[in-house]
Amino acid sequence: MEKIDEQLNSISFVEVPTGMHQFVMQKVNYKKFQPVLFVTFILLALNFIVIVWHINAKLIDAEFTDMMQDFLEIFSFNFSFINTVFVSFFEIISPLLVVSAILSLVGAIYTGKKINFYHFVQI
Amino acid sequence: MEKIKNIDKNILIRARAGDLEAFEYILSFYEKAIYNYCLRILKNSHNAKDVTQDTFIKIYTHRKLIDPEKNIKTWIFTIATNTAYDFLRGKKRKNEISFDEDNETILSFEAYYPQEGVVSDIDRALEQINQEYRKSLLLFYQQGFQYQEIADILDIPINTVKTHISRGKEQLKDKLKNYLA
Repeated sequence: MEKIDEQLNSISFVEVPTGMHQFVMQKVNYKKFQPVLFVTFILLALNFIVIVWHINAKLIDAEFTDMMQDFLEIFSFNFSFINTVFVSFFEIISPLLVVSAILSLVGAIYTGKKINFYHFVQI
Repeated sequence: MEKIKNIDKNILIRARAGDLEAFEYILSFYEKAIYNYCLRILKNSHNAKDVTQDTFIKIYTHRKLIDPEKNIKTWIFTIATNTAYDFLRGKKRKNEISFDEDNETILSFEAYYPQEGVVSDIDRALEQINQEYRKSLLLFYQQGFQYQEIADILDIPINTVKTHISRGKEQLKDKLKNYLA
């Protein structure tokens, strides 16, 4: 029996696989910042929805579809025509509002992708 | 034998508070022991890696339960054991492997101990004894736990632990005789 004790005391250890330590730390880092990422994602997504809603309401008020139909009837592919369309559009909607909507969308996609990556990707 | 020591109380307090550096210290301290334990239970390096990862992620998720006054090693091994059980239960449900000892998928020990000469007779013999005995033997000899700690980890009475170790050694003796013969 003593010999077995001796042999059992000499059971070998293997090294941990490469990348396991890093994987755990990445997951744990994500766990730590998960609430912040989720809140950021939700705020950006809501912000985008509110801005789009607001833009849509403004366009309806200004009867933008009718305006577009009129533009299409007299459509011509030149700078002054396209410039007129843009100027008319930005008279109804502030360019800052459009930029804000784009930034919110990009931010929501970015945080959404980060959440998706840490949730499902195995290294 | 690489018997693992205990971690400083201050590190445990910091880890409980969510300090990632402290957690990484705990991870570095125990990852090898946990991985080797899982490897012996699951007999598959890929599954052992997954279970070890899940174990440490659970430890971080439940870090508030860390008691700096108690031995964290026992707690970590309890989580590892339960995670391995859950994994095996999941596998059984999927019919990937059988939970039954007799029908258990026996993988060659050399498959996850690729270095030549590392696999000893005792390593091979350990793979062939009853799984319950093997767990108690590994926790006692490889990981250096006391009987009571093993009883806590495996959630069995202390006398059962002693019986498992004794019977496990008997089985090992028989298996080793076969190798020598």
